[in-house]
Order: sequence, then structure tokens, then C-alpha cells
Amino acid sequence: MKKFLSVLLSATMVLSLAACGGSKPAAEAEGEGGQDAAAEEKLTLGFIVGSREHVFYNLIEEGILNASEELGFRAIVLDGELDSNVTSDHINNLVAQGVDAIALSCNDPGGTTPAMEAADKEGIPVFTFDCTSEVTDVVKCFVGTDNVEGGRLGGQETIRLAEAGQTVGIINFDEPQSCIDRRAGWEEVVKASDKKLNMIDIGNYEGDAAKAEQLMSDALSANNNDIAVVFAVGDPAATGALAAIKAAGASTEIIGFDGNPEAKAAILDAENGKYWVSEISQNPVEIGKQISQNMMDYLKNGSVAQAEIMIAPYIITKENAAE
Amino acid sequence: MEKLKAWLKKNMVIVFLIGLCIGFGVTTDTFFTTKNVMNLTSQMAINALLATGLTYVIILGGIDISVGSVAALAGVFSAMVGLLFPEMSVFMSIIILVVSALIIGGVCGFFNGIMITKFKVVPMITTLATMTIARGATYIITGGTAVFGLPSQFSWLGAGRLLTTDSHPNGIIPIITLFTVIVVALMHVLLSQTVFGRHVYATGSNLQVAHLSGINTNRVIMKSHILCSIMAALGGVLVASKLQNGQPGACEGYEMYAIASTVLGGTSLSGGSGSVGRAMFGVAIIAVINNGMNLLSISSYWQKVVIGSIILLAVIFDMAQKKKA
Repeated sequence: MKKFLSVLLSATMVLSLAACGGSKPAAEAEGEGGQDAAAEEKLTLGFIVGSREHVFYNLIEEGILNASEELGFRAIVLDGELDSNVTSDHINNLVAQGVDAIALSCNDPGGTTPAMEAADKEGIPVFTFDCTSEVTDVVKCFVGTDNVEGGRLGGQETIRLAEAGQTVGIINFDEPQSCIDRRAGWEEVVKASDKKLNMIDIGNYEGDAAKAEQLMSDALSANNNDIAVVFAVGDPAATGALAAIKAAGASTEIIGFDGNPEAKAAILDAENGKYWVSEISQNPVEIGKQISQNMMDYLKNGSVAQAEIMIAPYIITKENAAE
Repeated sequence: MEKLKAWLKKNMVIVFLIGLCIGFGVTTDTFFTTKNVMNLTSQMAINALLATGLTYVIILGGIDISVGSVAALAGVFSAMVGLLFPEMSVFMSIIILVVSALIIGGVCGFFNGIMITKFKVVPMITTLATMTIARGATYIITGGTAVFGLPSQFSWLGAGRLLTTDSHPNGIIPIITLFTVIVVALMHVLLSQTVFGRHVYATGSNLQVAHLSGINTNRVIMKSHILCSIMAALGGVLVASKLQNGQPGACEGYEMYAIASTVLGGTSLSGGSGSVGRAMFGVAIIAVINNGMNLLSISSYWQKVVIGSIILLAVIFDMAQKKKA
């Protein structure tokens, strides 16, 4: 038993070492030869993504890392864990490290504003991406997705897929501002439609695909499978809805939101593509690229061309899903 | 009359469940449809498995809050294994799911058991650590992305249904329900009819006395934790099968519902008493409340408040009954 234990413990240690080793190159992407003098003149930019547990932020990180090679800066990317306390600590640490500029996804403006203002006072310009803060004016530039516009696109797709008088539903996520905006955009467009669609609220899926599956199957029972189209404010919700629709033998069509790889695969799949027909996609790689570009511009010229840059979401269907 | 009263007092949870069903049956016209009842049983399955395993460790006077994370880890693991066999048969998919659950559940349960019995770390802290480690491992092996692209055979166990008729082209009885009923029944018998089951109760009632009367209490604790994690892992692979998709964020917070169900079913958090069968009434109550409120389109915020209040009321009532008795 003791022998086994020591093997287990050392395996754990090796694994954790490997894990640390694995994350380092991603966190600090330096150009080749980070030691030489030329590299030291490089600007260092600090980034705090909302959470490394979301593909969306991982793709933003990819955009940042691509830009760091193209534009020649050193990028430090940190995980804010969707927690304003963690994010604030990261901001303070970046200031202490003496970075040239900081960009963060400001998921909880109230909680991170003091740290942002403190960084600004230290003379380090602060930028935001994905989510921004309305409560402070220190933000030099914000790059994000126009989620209301994304919701509107979802609404247009709903109207395109449904016939007059049919029932259409929405699976919400009531907490994140981005999802609240998507819902608002969807409702605005669907309400205004002259098809007189019967709108139902399927519920709050709280980011859990299994919960979305349950909500969808209950909504299908309550409506005798008579739901023509469902708009999911995130891809996990669409994944859950897909399972529920197939199990219920309904023919509801799904419009997802995010543009994750599993959405594209489902749309292209012969079986799943019968239900999951449309997807509103964000462009996270572009967000990462644009925020990096604007930080560099600001550091060079002392100003940015535009204080707010909204990257428009776009529609993915069978025709363009393979791209 | 006295007998009836005594029975009612003892089985308040059953009376409450029936009352709930009648209430939702009256207020909605879909609650008692075959389709909804079958949905309801399939929605109960995951929590039923989690609560079954938890009953064992709670009777021991312990706790396991890692079940949600272990479920998620097993789910993505089975999905990743499934990706290696794109041509799998239905039979093969069941093997993949069950073996994945046994491996992940076995490893996590063994780890919990070792920490508790050898290193004497309290169960709350041990399983808190396992919860965090397993969730982290889930994100490491998936890179934060859903594991997708599985063949439809993979979802037979979690989403398939038996007995297709003209009015129910997709079948009536969810396979996930049958599977869960069999597993839960076996676990119920193991706890109530075997020597091992007796040892679990004895160890939970009084560790010292059990030890002195010759029971290898460490082995009982170890076995129970392995069983608990395997049940959680089975729940997790069923979620992956149901969604035909391995979700790294799956089953977050499910431990709380599972603990609540177990307690609602009368299992005492101080250990020594409880039953798998009765925990199922707790599972049913939570599922019926969720399902009924969804049918009535009640906001999820209110659902949380209602479920929390019912758990509290049930426990207070239960304590009052025990004091009287």
C-alpha cells in the first residue's frame, strides 16, 4: 500500500509540474530570443481574459498572441476567473511588474473599477475588451461584440425559419450582460415581425447544457412539441436543446450563439444539421487582434482613432459553416 | 387510525410527493401525460445516481462534495474515449460508458478513501480538494472545449427510448430510466440486505464500537467512497451520452441537489441511518418541483427559493418527528 501511495503521489507531482510547464508558453508568449537586448526594448502588454474555461476567451487569447508576433510586443495573458477580486489582483500585479498597458475583459465593472483607476493613476493606460465599464472614464478604448445586434440577427433568423403564427422560444442565461443584450435584441426584432409569432420563454439555463436539455424537454411537453424555432443565447444551451428535441421527436429548429466548433460540426452533420440550422457567431480572434492593435497605437501616438469598436457578429448556416 | 397516523408521520415525504404531483396535475394539463412522466423519470436519473452513492458516505457520517466534478470528468473522459471508436456499435458504446465510469469513479473514490482513512483528512476537505482537482483535470484534458463529433450510437444509453408506437415514434420508456432503476435497486439491496451494508450502518453509528467489534472500518469507508464516486461517474457518463457531447462545465453544483435529496429522504447527516430507497423520494420531490415549475413557466430564480425552502422545511419537520419518537 505504501509503495502504491508513493507512486501515486509522485505521479501527481509530475502531472502538476507538467501542467505548470504546459501553461507557461501560452501565458508568456515572447518572441524568439527573449533574452537579448532587442527583445528588452519590446513593449510589454498585460491582458486579463474573463476565464480560461471558455473557448470564447481562449480564442481572444489566440488573437492577442497572433498580434504579439505581428506587431512585436510581449504579451502577458492572465485568467480573471470571472471574479472581480481575482481580476483586481491581476491588475495590481501587472502594475507592479511595470507593464506598458493593461487590457481586461471587465465582466464585473463595479468590482474592478478601483483597480483600473489605480492603474491609470500610476500612468498605465487601461483598455477593455468583451465587456467594459460604464462607471469610470479611464478606459482608453473598448473592443467588443455588439451583442444586441447579435440578438437581432438571431431574431431575423427566427423570422426567416418560422411561419406566421407559429410558436418560437428562447433559452436565456439571465446573469451575464452579454446574454441579456442578446435576448433584448432577439425580442425586439421578433416582436416587431408581422408574422405574429407566439414568443415563449423557455427558461434560464445557467450555462449548463444538461439544464438546457431539461428546460427544452419540459417546454416541448407543455406545448405538445409545437415549437417551430428555438433561439439559444449560448452554444451549451443549443447542445442541450438538440438532445431534447431529438428525444421528443420534435422538429424544432435551433439557432445557436457563440460560433463554437461544436456548433459548426452540428450544422454540417447530416442528422444534427436537420435541427441545428443556424448560428450567430462572434469573432473573438478579431477582438484579440483589434485590442492589441489599439493598445499599440495608443502607446505610439498617445491616442486611439476610435474609443469604442464594435465587432459585428455574423450568421453561420450550412453554406458557410465549413469555412 | 392510530396506525395510519403513525404511518403518515413516518412517511411524510411520500405524502408530500403525492400532494405535489396532484397539485401540478391540477394546475397544468400536461403534467400527467405519458410523455411528461417519462421525461420526469429521465430527468431524475442523474441526481438519483449521485444521491445513491452519497447515501452510503452520509450514513458513514461523512460527505462527498466532489460528485459533480467527478461526474464531469467521467463524462468528458468517456466522450474522448468514444471519439477513438467512430464505428462503435450500441453494445460497444455501453462498454465505453460503463468502463469509463468505473475507471474515473474508481480512481477518484480510491483517492478520497486513502486521504480519509490513511491521512485522516476530514471528508469535507478531502472531497473539496477532489472537487477542485477533478474540475481542473476536466478543463486540462478538454482545453475548455466541448468534446463533440460522437456517433449517434453513443447516445443510446442516455437518450434512447424503448417501445416505439405510432403516437410515440421515438419510443416511450427512456433507457436511462431503466438503467438507473437497476443500478439503484442493486445499491439498495447491497446496503439493506448484505453484511457489507450492515457494516456501513455500524461504522456510521459508532466508529469505535464498530472497530472494536471486529469490523475493518477503514475498508468499509474506502469501499463506500469508491462506490460513491463510481455512482457519480455513472451519472456523468449518462449526461455525456444524453447530450452526445462531453461538456467540461457539466454537473456544476449537482452535489448540492444530491445532498439535499438524500437528506429529504431521511438520511441523517450525523450518520448511522438512512436508505437508498427513501433517498429516491427526495430525488423525485426535487425533480417534480423543477419539472412542474418549468411547465408553469415560473422563473428559475423563484424555483431556487422554493427548493431551498422545501429542503429546510422537510429537515425541520423530520427533526421534530424524531424528537417526539
